Amino acid sequence: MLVSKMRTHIQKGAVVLMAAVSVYFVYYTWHSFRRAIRFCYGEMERWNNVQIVENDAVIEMSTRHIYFGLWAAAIVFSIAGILAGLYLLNRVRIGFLFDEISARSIQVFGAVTVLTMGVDTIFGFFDLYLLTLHNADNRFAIQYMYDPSDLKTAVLASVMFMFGWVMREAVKIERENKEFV
Amino acid sequence: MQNRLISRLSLFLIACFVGFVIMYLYRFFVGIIPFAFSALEMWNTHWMVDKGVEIPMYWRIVFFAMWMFTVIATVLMGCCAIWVVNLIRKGVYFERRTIWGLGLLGLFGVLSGIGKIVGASFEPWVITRFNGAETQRDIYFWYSSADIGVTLIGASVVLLAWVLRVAVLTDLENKEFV
Repeated sequence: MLVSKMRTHIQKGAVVLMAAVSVYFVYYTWHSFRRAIRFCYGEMERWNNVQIVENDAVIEMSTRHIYFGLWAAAIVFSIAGILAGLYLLNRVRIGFLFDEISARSIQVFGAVTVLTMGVDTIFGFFDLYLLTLHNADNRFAIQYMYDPSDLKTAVLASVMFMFGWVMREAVKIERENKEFV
Repeated sequence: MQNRLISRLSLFLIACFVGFVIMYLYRFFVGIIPFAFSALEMWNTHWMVDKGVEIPMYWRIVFFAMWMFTVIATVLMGCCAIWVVNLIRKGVYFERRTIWGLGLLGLFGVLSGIGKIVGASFEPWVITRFNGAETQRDIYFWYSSADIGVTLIGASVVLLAWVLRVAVLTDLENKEFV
């Protein structure tokens, strides 16, 4: 296949992915914040309806604030990751495939996504603990919540980070060689 | 200096990925296999299943096979990640096998993400297949933002592999021209 034809295919692929990611971005932002706000503040009874929470437990406002803060942090980091991904895909769509800024964008996207998974894991650590904090009897300890999807995302994102780094080095070497010539 | 840093971080990542694959398989063996085969009462006493229902062995195999697709895709994804990062550690950056490995990594990521969404959508139906008509659950679309994320990032990794292939071919063309 001709290189120019492959370039066109890549650009079309980037457009398709951008469309999918954009829809996901709008839905995720709206749905996640709506759920978090409704759970913590909008419909107070939702907290008590969780299976592990005792029906007569009184949830203090400060606990709700902390829970919302952790949840919101995970959402905000996810949004940052999605935006970094959209920026990168847009560069590919325009045709900047192998330059320093694209390489750096790949690295930033990878790093932000790994960080997001870290924040999500921290949220997971406190999730059950905060939910059951005001139970009279069955309180959960702070504990690691295994989430294979988070780990899979982190694996893919860290490989992207490495390739962004390697690409940056390659672009730098190529530039230095040209300057030398 | 940069190369040494890349090599060290690669080694650290390989250790993390090996840990991930081992933990993932361990969780699978202590989760799905007992539910399907070795602890038969787990399925019979599941909260969605009617009391007294017996699950035939062929249906247990269907349940197991349904999840095996995702498990195999995820383990292969982990192995590809180890392979590709090990190539980076050795300094093999833009060769054919590295780009192939990256493409396969993305592909297995996509399959793993889709497999999880499909599996979780079918699971209630499979589990309650032998319930009475009133308590049998339908197939419904289940998703989690994390699994959609895995699918989309997997697709981005495939695109990245494609970009690298074009870069290598362009470089080759330029060299031939000179």
